[in-house]
Amino acid sequence: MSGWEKYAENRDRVSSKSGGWTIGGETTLHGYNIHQELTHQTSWVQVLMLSVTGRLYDENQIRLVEALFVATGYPDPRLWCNRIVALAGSERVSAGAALSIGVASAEAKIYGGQAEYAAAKTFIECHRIFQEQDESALLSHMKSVLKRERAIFGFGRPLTKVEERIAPIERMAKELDIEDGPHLSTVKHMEMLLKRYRLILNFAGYATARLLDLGLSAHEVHQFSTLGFYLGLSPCYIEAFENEPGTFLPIACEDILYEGPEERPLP
Amino acid sequence: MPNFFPPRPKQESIRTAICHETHSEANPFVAEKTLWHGYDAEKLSANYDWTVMLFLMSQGELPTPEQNHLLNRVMASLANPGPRDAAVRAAMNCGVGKTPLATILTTGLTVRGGMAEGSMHVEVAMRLLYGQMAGADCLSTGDKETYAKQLVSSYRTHWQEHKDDEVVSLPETPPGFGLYYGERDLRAVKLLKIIKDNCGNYLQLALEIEGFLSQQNDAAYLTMPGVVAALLCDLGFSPEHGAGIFLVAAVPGIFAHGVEQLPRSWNEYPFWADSAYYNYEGPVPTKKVGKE
Repeated sequence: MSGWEKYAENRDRVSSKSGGWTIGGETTLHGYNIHQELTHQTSWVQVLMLSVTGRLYDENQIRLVEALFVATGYPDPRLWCNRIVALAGSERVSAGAALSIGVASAEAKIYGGQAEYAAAKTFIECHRIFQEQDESALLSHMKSVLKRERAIFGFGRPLTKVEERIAPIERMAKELDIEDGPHLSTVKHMEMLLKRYRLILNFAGYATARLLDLGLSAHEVHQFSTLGFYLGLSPCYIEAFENEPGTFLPIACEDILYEGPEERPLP
Repeated sequence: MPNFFPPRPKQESIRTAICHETHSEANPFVAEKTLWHGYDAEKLSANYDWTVMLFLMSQGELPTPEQNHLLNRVMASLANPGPRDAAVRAAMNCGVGKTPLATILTTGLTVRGGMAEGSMHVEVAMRLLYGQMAGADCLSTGDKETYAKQLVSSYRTHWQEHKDDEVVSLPETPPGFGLYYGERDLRAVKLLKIIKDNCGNYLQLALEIEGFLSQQNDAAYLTMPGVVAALLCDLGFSPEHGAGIFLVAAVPGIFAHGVEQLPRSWNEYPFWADSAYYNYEGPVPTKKVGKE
């Protein structure tokens, strides 16, 4: 095969394993007819999970997953991704552009999508060690991660050592008769072991463990969680958009702490 | 000049070494005077061109005329990735759909940010050349051929151990090297011709790596992003700023192609509407909800 044959093979050829639209006719997603099956029998989050994983989860599980999104949709414009959409609103950026940068910016390592991916990778490895070996092997692994990374993704939280979002989901899981899966059990055990380091399980870690227990891979956790902060974005954008431009957290010249060189002549 | 407001806590202040604005006498939000890295911004913009500003913002110092000339050549060569490029096509798709103007550009730039041969790729290619992806045993000894082989070997070890650490995986072939549509990247060859008199240490190192990789079973050569990465290293840019320059340089082409499609009707741009174009490879769509 010459070097360019594979490109020639795909020229004018659209391939899909997940579905598509017969123009003017049927539309399908992962083996389901969208209009005959999904539209009237499933929820938006149920189909979101289907679109990411290819699997249709039962309504009970989805109720809990949906609650994860609700629990972390804080409309506080101080939060980083919210502040970005508020700045966009204040500059009269259109809604689609503003909300999309809110979503994109939340793919953050400190608090967002990258943290969830890293937590998923960490939890999968920790769970494997805990299953195949024992608590001391798990602790030893966690210590080596802490030494190397100075953190364990899924644990610890900026600004506070309180995590208010987990308890409501735990209550709901109980009401829905959803037990802790193997990953969440391991993660809760990890939290107990990490008490001496004053590291709490954070909500991203908790949600990640729940999603891993539903059979999602680390990449699927990352992709599914992309809209995790979405509910908080719209109110921040709308308010800033409706207020007078430039009045969202204006910064005076003197507010900037300059750390660069003194004025110098041009060569 | 006295301040308008009481001092604020340091942790609640934005810190920067790039820009200093002095407020006017009457308004704390209006800058009377602006310094960029210590230079008067007004005088800078009156006397220097855009790539000088780009260099200054990234590195904190003005470039030499030679550096500025090379940066201009590199950026000019990247000005239009062309209508077949994924980033440009993304912008054109926005244009034909009448997406808001700014989003035409930001969409194109997002697509140009990828690892395949976008700004993420340039960033890791620069890290490779700077030795930032090498182990402690990989030291530059002055013998470029040995060092080039060490860098490749070290990258392969790094890739085995860390390829899935981030949400977008590292490329298996050392970044900056590979094939373009199955053959040696002609864009790289042309760029090398244009800048042949500017072969700095990092470009020499990249050429050494190319010499080594081209002799291997799965021969790989310097790609266009690889040449750009080497040149940006020779110009002293950090990998982060290098990635940014790779993005910014393509703005003229991305935006122009996107805007060109704006006045056109949706059916003046391909949709691949004929079912013969569409190839479904998934399960037979007969699944029933509740009967999984």
